[in-house]
Amino acid sequence: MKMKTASILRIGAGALFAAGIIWTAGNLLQSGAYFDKMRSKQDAITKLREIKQQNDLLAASFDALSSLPNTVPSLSALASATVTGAVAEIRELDSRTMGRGWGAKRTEIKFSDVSLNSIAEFLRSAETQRPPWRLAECVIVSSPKADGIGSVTLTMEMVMRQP
Amino acid sequence: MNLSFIKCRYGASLPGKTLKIVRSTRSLTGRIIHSTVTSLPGQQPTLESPSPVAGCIGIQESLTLWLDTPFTSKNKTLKVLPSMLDVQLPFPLEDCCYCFVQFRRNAARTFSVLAVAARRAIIQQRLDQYKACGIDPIIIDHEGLALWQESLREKPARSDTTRIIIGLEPDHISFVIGSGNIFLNAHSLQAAPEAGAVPKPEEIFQRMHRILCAELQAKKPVEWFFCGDLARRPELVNSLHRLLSGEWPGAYMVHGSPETFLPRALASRALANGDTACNLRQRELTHADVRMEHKKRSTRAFLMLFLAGMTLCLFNLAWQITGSIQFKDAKLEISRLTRELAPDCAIPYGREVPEVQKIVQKRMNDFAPVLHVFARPLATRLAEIINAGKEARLAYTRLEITRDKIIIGGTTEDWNYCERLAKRLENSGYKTEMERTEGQEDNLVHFIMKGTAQP
Repeated sequence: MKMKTASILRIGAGALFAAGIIWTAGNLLQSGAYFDKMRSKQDAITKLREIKQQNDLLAASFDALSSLPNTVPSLSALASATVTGAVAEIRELDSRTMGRGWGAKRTEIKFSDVSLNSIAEFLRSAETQRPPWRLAECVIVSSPKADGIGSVTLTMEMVMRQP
Repeated sequence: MNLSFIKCRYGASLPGKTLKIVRSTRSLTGRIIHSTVTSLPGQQPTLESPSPVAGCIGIQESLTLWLDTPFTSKNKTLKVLPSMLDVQLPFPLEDCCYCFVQFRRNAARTFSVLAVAARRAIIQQRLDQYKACGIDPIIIDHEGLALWQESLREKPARSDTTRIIIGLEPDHISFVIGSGNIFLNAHSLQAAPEAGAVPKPEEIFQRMHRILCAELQAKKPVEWFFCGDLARRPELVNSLHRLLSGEWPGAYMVHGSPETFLPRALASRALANGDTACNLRQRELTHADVRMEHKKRSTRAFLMLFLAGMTLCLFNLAWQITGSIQFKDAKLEISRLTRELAPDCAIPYGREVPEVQKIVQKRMNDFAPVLHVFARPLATRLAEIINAGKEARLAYTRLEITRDKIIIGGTTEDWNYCERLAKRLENSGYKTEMERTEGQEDNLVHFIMKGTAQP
């Protein structure tokens, strides 16, 4: 039996509507899984961007260091200039290559029976050098003899460009 | 049936094979305005196109009856009504056109339903009569219901009063019985076999009397209403009323313009399209305009369905494409960041964050001295801790500090002074542990405080 055009159009309209409803239902059912996947991807992007911030900080630090002179300020000279009445024992602990043309050097300085105020002066002077020495460790043992006197062991760290 | 596409209605009756037409329109205030349409003898009347004409089937050619159903639910009632009507009819229901026009609840909350039915062949005959006069009515109403409703519209009923409307037409006499607002029954008598002869009141009374005796209690007060072409003859109306009120006392009234009362009634009902609307022009007898309107409405409905389906499909397609693009963009961004942070590493899909974190953390550890150059100097922290000790009246005997931890040993005069230092260290981001002992020889409190820097 030949179907009338109107009947075909009606069946077509009904089928299209049914398809739309089924498709919508399918999409709604899958939407939970989709949003979970998207949330997981967004979380990953957020974490990676946080990691990138740390990495950018490192890159910015290298850029800032590159403008500093490539000389190593002498700790011995600094100690002589700032600490009076005590002799510094200076010992190089280690020197290592970090990469990207940069290395790090650690040096230990010991002062016996020294005025603690002069140590503060020494540290201020070392930290303001270009490039700066940075305090990495410090051990202070006060002397029972007098207030403000003690033995001090400082571990100083410096970053330097390697040839 | 909604005929709202028509703005005015015509009522057409065929008393004595003479066509009478009334045009009715509803004013903005809701009042129905009637005007009689006249046509020259032998010529077809001129009506507005499309012709929204309501005709009627005579009382003698149709049937009205109240069906008492046992159901309190209207839906259930609607399901059984055709079967109940079929039982009551003297001919097969399949040969009839019928309407259920009024639903009334009984004292037992069940439904009584007023049914109107007529044989299809009779309706076809009536349509042919109309067509012979140049009219093709959209609606075929019921004469009795039309008379009843128009009478109530023109003269509202007093509650519980019996009303009898007598339509005096040249070829027949119809009378409708009702109580209050409720239509009860309708009857019709063939009148005056000789054309143009006026029926005798005594003869009419005798024939009516037999029927009314079965319907009404003796001496029950009744309101008598007259209409129809012959109601313009006062002598006929007075005589008939005198005879009738002798049995059932009550005043009478003749409706205004009684000769056009029926077409007026038909037009009013078609215009009102209310609860008691009735159209016996059904199925294959349905008017072509109505069929066309149905077809249009059906086409419109399917078009809407098609558009809704199309909209849904497009919406879903857009949803899927957008979702897919967003997901792809997110993957590309992850891939870009991974390549930027770990350019030389092959990282499996889904493991980007932990692997990159590991690589960058190792890089941070390797280049920690570079970061230390620009971080807050440890010497500054050392100075703060020494000053805090002075403020808390503590005497340090040993102080060890690195970037991660601190150990302070010392003495103080008061047990609680150490708390101040502990609080200060905690504010600076250390997690502290403290050991305190009372000195045996010097009466001082000896303490050791350990602090670990929190990440």
